Amino acid sequence: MTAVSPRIRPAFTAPEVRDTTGAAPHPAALEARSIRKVIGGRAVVDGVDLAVQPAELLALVGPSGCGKSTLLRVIAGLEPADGQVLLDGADVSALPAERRWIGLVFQDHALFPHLRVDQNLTFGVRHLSRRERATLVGELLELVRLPGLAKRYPHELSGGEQQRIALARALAPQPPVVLLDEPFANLDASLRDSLRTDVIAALRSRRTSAVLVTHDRDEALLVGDRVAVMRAGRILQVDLPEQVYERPVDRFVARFLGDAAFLPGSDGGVLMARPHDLTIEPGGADRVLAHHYFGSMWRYEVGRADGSTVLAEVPAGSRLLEVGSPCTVHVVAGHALHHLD
Amino acid sequence: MQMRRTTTPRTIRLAAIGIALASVTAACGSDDASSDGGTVTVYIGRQYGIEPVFEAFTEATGIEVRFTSGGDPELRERLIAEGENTPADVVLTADAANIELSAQAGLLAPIESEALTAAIPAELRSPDDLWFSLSRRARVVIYSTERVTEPPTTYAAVGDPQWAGRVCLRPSTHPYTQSLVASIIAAEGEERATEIVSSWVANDPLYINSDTDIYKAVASGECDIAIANTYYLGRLQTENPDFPVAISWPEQDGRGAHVNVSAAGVTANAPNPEGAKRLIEWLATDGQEQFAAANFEYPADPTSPVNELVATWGEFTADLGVVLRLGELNPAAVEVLSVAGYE
Amino acid sequence: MTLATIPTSTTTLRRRARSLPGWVAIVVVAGVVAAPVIVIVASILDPTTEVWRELWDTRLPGMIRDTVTLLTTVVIGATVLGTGLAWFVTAYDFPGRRLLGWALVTPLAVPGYVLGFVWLDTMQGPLGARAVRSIWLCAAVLIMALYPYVYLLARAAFRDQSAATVAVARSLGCSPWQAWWRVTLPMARPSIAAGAALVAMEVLTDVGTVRLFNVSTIADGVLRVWFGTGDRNAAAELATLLIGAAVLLIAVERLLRGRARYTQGGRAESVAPRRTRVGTTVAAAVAGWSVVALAVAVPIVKLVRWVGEARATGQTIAVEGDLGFHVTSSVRVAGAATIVCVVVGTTLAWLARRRGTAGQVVARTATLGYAVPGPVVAVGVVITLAALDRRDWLPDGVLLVGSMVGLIYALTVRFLAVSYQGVEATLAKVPPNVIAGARTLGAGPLRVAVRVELPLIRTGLLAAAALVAIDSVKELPVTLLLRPFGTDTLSVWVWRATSESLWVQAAVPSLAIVALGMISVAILQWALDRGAEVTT
Repeated sequence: MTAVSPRIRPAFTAPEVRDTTGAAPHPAALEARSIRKVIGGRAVVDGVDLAVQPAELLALVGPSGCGKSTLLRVIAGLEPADGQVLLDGADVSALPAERRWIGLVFQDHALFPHLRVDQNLTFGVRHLSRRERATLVGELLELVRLPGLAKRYPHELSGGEQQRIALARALAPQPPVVLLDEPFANLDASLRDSLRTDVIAALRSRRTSAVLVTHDRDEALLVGDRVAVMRAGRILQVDLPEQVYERPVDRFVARFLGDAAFLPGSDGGVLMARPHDLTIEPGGADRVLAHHYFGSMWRYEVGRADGSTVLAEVPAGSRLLEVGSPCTVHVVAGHALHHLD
Repeated sequence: MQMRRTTTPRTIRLAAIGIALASVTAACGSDDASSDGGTVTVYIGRQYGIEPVFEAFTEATGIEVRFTSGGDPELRERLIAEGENTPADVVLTADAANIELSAQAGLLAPIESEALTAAIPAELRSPDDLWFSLSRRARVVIYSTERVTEPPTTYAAVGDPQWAGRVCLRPSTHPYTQSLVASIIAAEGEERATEIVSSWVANDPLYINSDTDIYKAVASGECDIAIANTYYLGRLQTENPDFPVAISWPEQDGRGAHVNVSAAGVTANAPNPEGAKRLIEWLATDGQEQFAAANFEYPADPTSPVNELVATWGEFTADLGVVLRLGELNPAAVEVLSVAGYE
Repeated sequence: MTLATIPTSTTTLRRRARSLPGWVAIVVVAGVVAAPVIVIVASILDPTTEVWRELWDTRLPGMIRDTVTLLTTVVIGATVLGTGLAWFVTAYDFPGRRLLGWALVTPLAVPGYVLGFVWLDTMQGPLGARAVRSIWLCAAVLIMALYPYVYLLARAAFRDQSAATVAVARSLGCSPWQAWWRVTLPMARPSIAAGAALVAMEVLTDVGTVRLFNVSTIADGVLRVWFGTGDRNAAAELATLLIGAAVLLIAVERLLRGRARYTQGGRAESVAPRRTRVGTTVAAAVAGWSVVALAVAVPIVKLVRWVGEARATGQTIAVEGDLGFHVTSSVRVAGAATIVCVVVGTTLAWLARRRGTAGQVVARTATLGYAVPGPVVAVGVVITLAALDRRDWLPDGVLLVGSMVGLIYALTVRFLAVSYQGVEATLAKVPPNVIAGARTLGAGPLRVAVRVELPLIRTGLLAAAALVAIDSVKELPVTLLLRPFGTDTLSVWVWRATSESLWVQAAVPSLAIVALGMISVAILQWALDRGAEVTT
């Protein structure tokens, strides 16, 4: 199901080619400029610039309290802030939330408990006729793979079903942009994976731009066409997932997105090493502190001679080094370590 | 919703224990006084000025009086329900209908007392001596001395169209209204009574559920005439001797002004019938003057002196003949009031 | 009180059989409390057509009209006022927000009849004695006296709502006002309806305030028929009409609600109070404080002035004992009634939980006394207790009628609904997992109740207790008829003064009632704040 028949606003046409460089020929679907939000004397969002391209899914990741949810609320128009918000090139900063045409999905699904599923879904499209609404409900339920639940009440659904309905409800008015605030955080792991797959598929099929806020780095890397890393009210880096993971701008981003060791470079700079960049060999000045089995490989915690600790990986099948064994850490052949400035 | 365990239950627990103890003590200490020879228990339907009278009785006889006050009908229901277990020795009501209803319900025992039969005229006591009136309460026409020169001299005249919009009346819920209408039914028949009450209603009266406020309304000009009991004037004149409202004694050329009574009887299951009898006897004799004067009422014993202030309102003829029938006629009165649309 | 939250779960026969002792307990407890009401209702088995016909031809249509007018006006007025004020203090931030939030509860401390005679006297001057006695002023007084019930429940509902829900509504095209109308308000509806049901019960059963304003309601008619004609049966039949109306109200609300639920799961962040335009805030704050002034400040000022006048005039009513004696009586009666109501209410709610609709219905019958005018409850209790007294099962000379035990029993019959409602609502919030967890640790149901559930619902119990205490201190008809000798409460004192129209003499005990009520309101507020702290 790729299109929903009733068009409620001028159709939003996204460019066919996905542009990940940020230098788009078309205006960005969503652009935030110099957003600054002060609460109680503290800049919760401190000069954020961010652009989301048409049909792009941007993952916004950062530790709890870094301001990512607040940024989302500012973009949605739920909180006033300094700076500008542009949708498809048009400045909507002065518009209230209800006139921005941005979909919202929250962690606690926020379904209207007093309304049935179909009433929840059509909440934002009141001008449609009864028949159009019925069609829309059917299509949306197909989209989130929950046909036949139209007459249920939210409390009669499971957690995953509730979240699917919440997404469908946000998509009902066909907004060009949807903001998702930790949409999978309340669900258990198995449910989360399948739901995540379906949610992304739904967003893609509708060519909807989206910002997904999460504190889960794996989720960010998995879901985002690009990943924005935020800390203390500022965006530190926005790039493709592999770029932010492999070429973080600083130690914080490096550590936040995965295990990382920092090694002195030959030029006096700092090199970042992911566990898969390092391996060990028996014998030497380093010591094995612990080992963990990951099926495809062993991961070693190694105490180095200089007192630091690094993680290194050895393919499964090689001889296991016991805890306490002497060893030597070195960079895997062919891996170039990222140079932190 | 996440519940939080609090860590200071002690104060609450202590408070709860304290209240519990207090209530247990209360429960134990409450009902220790089933009458011995020295106490008379009274269910009383009148509230004003009674306590000094009872104190004087205790002083004179050494018998203690304890009383529960309440509405007459509620107290009657309580008496019925308690049956032979009642702690009440005396029922003292604020009107004749209620004591008669108690008598009819078999709640009263006859009192054999020469003192009482001598003091209280036959029209003011039940034929089988089940109850005796202790004071008379006249319900009369009152008028503004500033704006009215020729007040009505009959109850029917209150319905004269000249008083349209100028009358204050007490709502039909009150026993005083009901007994007045009962007396009119007795004198003029139900049909005529309905006409009279309807003529009152046609004058668009202002209903005020308080005789005191009725007097004040006449004084302040809200209405020019009204029907009210006399003794409230006594209270108001005590405060302000120049209170601009006067009494017009109605029906003086005929049956006389409507009189209700405050009456008492000994309960059928009185724990202390002797004490009860002594109290009623005392109230009808030695205490008669004080009992009536305490509330600016007229003594039931015609020979007993009238309070000084009350005496200034003049002599009047009272419709005594109907007093014994007020109870019996009360339901008819309620119906007449309803049919006439009296509020 | 609201029989409005009967859950519609189903219980299997197997579970019912297993919990037979529980069923016996629930039926016995509910039966004991419901007995006086059943006695009254049973009187319709012996119908009296004569009085009915006469009533129908004369007063009944007027009574029904007045009752419906008053009920509609007061319920709508109190609901709009209570809901509006609750929204204002939860959603907006302004100086003195907490203080106003507290002050808006205080009208609970002022009995309707006191508010009634104060306003009657105050408005008599400007309006005149005729215009002042109107159903509309009566309605205004009742709205001021009763809106806190809606306010309290609506405020709790608004506090519990998730901010995300409103945010989603906004993103779906609702203006703030539309979001309020389409989401915030409907979600609070069960709480608002529960508060409105409380108000409706109070209006249906009020006999003190309506009489001051010459309003002839059905409750007033019950007393009119009973005391005017001595026909207890006809009066009881009228009272049954009231109970029927109450049950109908509740049933309609239940039906309208259907399967929908109104609470949200999860740890929701509630709406943070926000600042809005100064003009709006000032206007709303002025409105809020005006309500407090009209419902609390004016009566207190007036009563204080009367206390001075009372010293000057010589008129007295017979009052046994001094102020301290009456305060002690009131505290003892209200204290004992509160404890019994909370204990019985908790027991009943605990027994009824997880026993399905049937259990709820049985438990709810025990709360019907709230839908019956006080004087009728009092007589029902007298009849019930006197029947026991006649069996001579107590030691010689000890009687239930006219004893403290009898009075407390009667107050429990009247006010159990208040505590039951509060306890039930709180108990429903205890997460089932907590109980399951305790059970797996080897604790029996009773031990779980005492060690786990009771501590968890403690603030809820305290709030319920405060509400019962407030009602008991203000209560008049039941206390008047059933109080033991030597237990004249403050409300009895007020009644004796006002029944002789000595308003001025009623000032001292009225003020004392208000003062005691204020203490309970403070406790209530404290307990509710603690409860709210947990949710945010």
